[in-house]
Amino acid sequence: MGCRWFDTIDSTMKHVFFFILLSQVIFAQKFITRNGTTAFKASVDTFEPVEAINKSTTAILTHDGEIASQLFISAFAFKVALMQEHFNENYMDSYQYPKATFRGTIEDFSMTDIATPKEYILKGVLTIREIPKNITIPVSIAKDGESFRLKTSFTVAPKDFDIKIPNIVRKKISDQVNITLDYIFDEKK
Amino acid sequence: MYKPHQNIETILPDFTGKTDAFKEKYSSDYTVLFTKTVELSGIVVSLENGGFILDESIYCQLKDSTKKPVKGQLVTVKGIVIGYDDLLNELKLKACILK
Repeated sequence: MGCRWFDTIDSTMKHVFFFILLSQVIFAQKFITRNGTTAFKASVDTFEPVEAINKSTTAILTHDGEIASQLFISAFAFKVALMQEHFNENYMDSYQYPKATFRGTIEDFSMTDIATPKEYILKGVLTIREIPKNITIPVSIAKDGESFRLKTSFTVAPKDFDIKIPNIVRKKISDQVNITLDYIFDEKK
Repeated sequence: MYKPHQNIETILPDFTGKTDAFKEKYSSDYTVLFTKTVELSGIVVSLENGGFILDESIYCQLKDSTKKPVKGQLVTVKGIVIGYDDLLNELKLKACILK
């Protein structure tokens, strides 16, 4: 008897359930990387190169262009071990501030229209040493098989994040740091 | 002349053991393991982005040119803890090698 009530709405409910499932699949579609490359250069001509690469950046990209990313400062690798030690201990205080994060949105992003590499504007907040700063940067995104590849290059100033560079090395470290990103996002299963 | 970088092959781990014992000991505060080397035994749950997931919640990024394990394999992996990734809720290890 109780079942008859269900029988009458059975077909409608199936459609509703199907719609809910489908919309969850679409809205929850996420692409992630755990080994994104974030590199920086703060070199000054004629001095020893000041540059490092972090190949362990995590980033999440949603279908509507939301991006969240995070990296660990201590995972930046320098050619010279001593420079890496100074970077962590004296400049970045990476034990106290282990992470840098970014949260933002790619404007007018749509996953359906990037069969060829396309330029977008990415706006968001970059946080280093717990100091947030709004940034707006151009990014290039291409669909590479089932993955998305995001690349960009932009400049930040160490003083914006209260990174103090001692007088003795000031001439050897640029006050404009160039950051490059290269992230390949795979669909999160 | 210059001090060399740490070598994952030769450095002594600060923890050696199974992942469940590891989680029991450290999951309340992974920060004490920051930049420390650990050697963990567990099951490869999936292969992901240049590495693999060990026992649900530990991402092991393999050192370049290290042979990948297969899904379901029991492995002992040695790597450097770089931090707890709260975007994906995983502990993150880099420079991992299989023992």
